[in-house]
Amino acid sequence: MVKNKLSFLRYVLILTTILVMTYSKRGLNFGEPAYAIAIFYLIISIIISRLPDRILSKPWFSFLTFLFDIIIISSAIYLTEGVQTDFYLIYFLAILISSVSQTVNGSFFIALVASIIYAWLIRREYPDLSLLDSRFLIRIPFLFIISLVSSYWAESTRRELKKKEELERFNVELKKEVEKITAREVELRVYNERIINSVASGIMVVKGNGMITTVNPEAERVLGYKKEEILESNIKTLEGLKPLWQKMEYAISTGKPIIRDDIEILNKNGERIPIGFNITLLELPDKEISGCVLIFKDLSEIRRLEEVARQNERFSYLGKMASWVAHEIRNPLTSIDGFAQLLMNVGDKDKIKFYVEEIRKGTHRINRIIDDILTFARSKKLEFKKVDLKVLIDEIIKPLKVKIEFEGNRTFVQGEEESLRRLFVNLITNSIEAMDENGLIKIKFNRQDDYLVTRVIDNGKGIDEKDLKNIFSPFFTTKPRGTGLGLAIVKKIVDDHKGRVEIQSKPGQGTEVSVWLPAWKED
Amino acid sequence: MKKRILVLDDEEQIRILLNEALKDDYEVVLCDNGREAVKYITKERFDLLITDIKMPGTHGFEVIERIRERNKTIPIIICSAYKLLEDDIIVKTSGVSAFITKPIEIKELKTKVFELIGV
Repeated sequence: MVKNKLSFLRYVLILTTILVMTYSKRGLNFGEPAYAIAIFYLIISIIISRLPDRILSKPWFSFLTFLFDIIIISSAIYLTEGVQTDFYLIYFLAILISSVSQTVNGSFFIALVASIIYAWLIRREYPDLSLLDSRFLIRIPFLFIISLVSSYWAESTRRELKKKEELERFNVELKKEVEKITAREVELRVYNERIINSVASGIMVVKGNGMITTVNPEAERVLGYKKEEILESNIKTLEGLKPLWQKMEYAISTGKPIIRDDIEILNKNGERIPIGFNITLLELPDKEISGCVLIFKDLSEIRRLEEVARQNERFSYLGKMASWVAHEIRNPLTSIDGFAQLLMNVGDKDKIKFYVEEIRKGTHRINRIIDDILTFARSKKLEFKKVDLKVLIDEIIKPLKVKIEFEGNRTFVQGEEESLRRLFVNLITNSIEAMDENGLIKIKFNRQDDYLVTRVIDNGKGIDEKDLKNIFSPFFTTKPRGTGLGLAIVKKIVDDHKGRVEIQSKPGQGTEVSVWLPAWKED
Repeated sequence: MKKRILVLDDEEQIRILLNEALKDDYEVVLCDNGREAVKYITKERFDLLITDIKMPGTHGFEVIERIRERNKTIPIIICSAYKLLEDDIIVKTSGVSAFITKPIEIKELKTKVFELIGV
C-alpha cells in the first residue's frame, strides 16, 4: 500500500521534473544531454519500481533512491539552465516525497545534499550572489523546514499506521483464538452431553430452588417425561417425584450427600417405580451449594426377580416342609397308632399304663411340632416392652440342671417377652444337648450402640464347618431328634426384633451364638 | 433259640414300639444309629434287620449297602415315614425284602416277619 503510493509519487516527481525540464529556459530537445538524462531517469525509475519488495522496503535503498533523485534533478537543472526558473520547487517535491519513506535523519540528510547541490548550482550561475539573497536565505532553510516537518509528519503517520496494523493483527489473532475456544467449548459440551446421554443410569440435575436443569434419556424413560416437558420446570410441581425432592432438599439443606438409598416414585403415568439412587451436591467454587445431582436406577426388574426368587424359595421351603411334616408327624403318629394297636390285646395294668404314656408322649410331640410350625410361619405384630434378659434366662435355667455364669450389667432390651423366651429356650436347649456332664454355659451381655448383644457360649461338641452355613435354614438339623426349626425360629424372632444373630463354632471346643437385640434406651 | 432281629431307628418311641410288638416271639436288639448297626451285624448273628431310612448321620440306604458288603443274605425290612419314587429302584437293587410305611399295622408287620424268618 505504502509502496504503491510511493511509486506513484515518484512517477509524479519524474513527470514533474520532465515537465519542468520541457518548459525550462533551454527546453528538452532531442539529442541533447538533458534529453538523455530525462530518458535515463525514466528508465531507471521504471526498473526501480519493478524491484522486489524486500529491497524496496529497505530504508537504505529508498535513501539511495532519493539521493539519486536529487542528483538527477540537480543535473537536469544544470543542463537545462533551470536555476533562473522555478525549478528549485522540484527539490521541495523530492524532499516531501522522500520524507514519506524516510526517518527525520534520512530526510534531513537528503535535504542537506539538495541544499549543497542547489547552493553550488546557484553559485556557479551567479558567482557574486550574496548569502543574504532570498534564493539562499528563504529557499534553503525552507528545504530543511519542509524536510523536517514532512518527515516528522510522515513518521508519526507511519507510527500510527503501524500501531493500527498491529492492533488489527492483534484483533485478527484474538478473533481466531476466540473462535478456537468457542469451538472447543462446543466440542466439550457435545462430548459431555454424549457421556451423560450414554450412561445407563438416570441422571437429573436440580438447582437449589427445585429447577430441573439436566435430564438424560434414561431419566426420561424411567420418569416417563420428555426432556422438553421437565427441563427448566420445577420438580416441586411434579407430584410423583415429591418424595425424591424431599430427599434432595434434605441433602442440600444439610450439605450431606445421600449414598445408596431407595425410594418409590410415581412416573408420569402414575405407575409406581422403585428406584435406587445417590444424591451428590453441586458445589460452587466458594463452597456454596447450588443444587444437586441425582443418579438413579430403575429397580423394577430387580424387584421382580427378587419376587421370583422369593417365590422359588417359598416353593422350595414348601417341598422341604412337606417331607419334613411327613417324617416328623408320622413318627409320633406311628407310635400312637402302634401302641393303640398293642393296647387291644393287653390285660396287664402296668403295660396299659406304659402304652398310654407312650401314646401321650406321641401326642405331645405332635403338639410341639405344630407349635414350632406356627411360630416359624406366623407373622403377628409384636408388641415390644421392657424385658430383662437376665431374669428371663434365669427363669429358663432354673428347672434345668446346668451350670451357668453371667457377665455384664446392662441387660434390658425392647422386645416381646414370649418370643424372646422361645429364642433363648431354643439356644439353651441346643447348648445343653451339645454338652456332656462337664457342661458350662456362659451368658455375656454387652451394649453396642443401640443394641444389647447377648452371647450364649457353651463348651459342647461344636458344629461342623459344613453344617454352619445351613444352620439357620428351616428343616435343617444335625440332631437325632431335632425338628430342624429351632435356629430357624431363633433367626425369625431376631429378624422380627430388627436384630441380628451370628454363630461361631469349633468342633470339640464349643459354640458361641451372639444375638443383637434393640436395647432398652433408658438402661 | 429265638430268632434275632436288629431294629435301627433314630426315634426312641418307634424302637420301643417295635420292641413291644416283637419281643414275645423274637429276641430284639435296638440301636439308634447306622454305625452301631453295622458293628452289630459284623460281630453278631442276626436273622432280620428292620431299619428306617431318613435318619440324621448315616442314611438308611448307606447302612444297607454296608451291611450287604458283610452279609449278603440277611433279610431287610425298611420301615419309613414315606416312600419316594426313587426308593423303589434302590429297594429292588439292594435286595430289600419289604417296605413298610409308617404308621405301621402291627399285624401286617408280624406276618411279614413271620414269612421271612418264621418263629
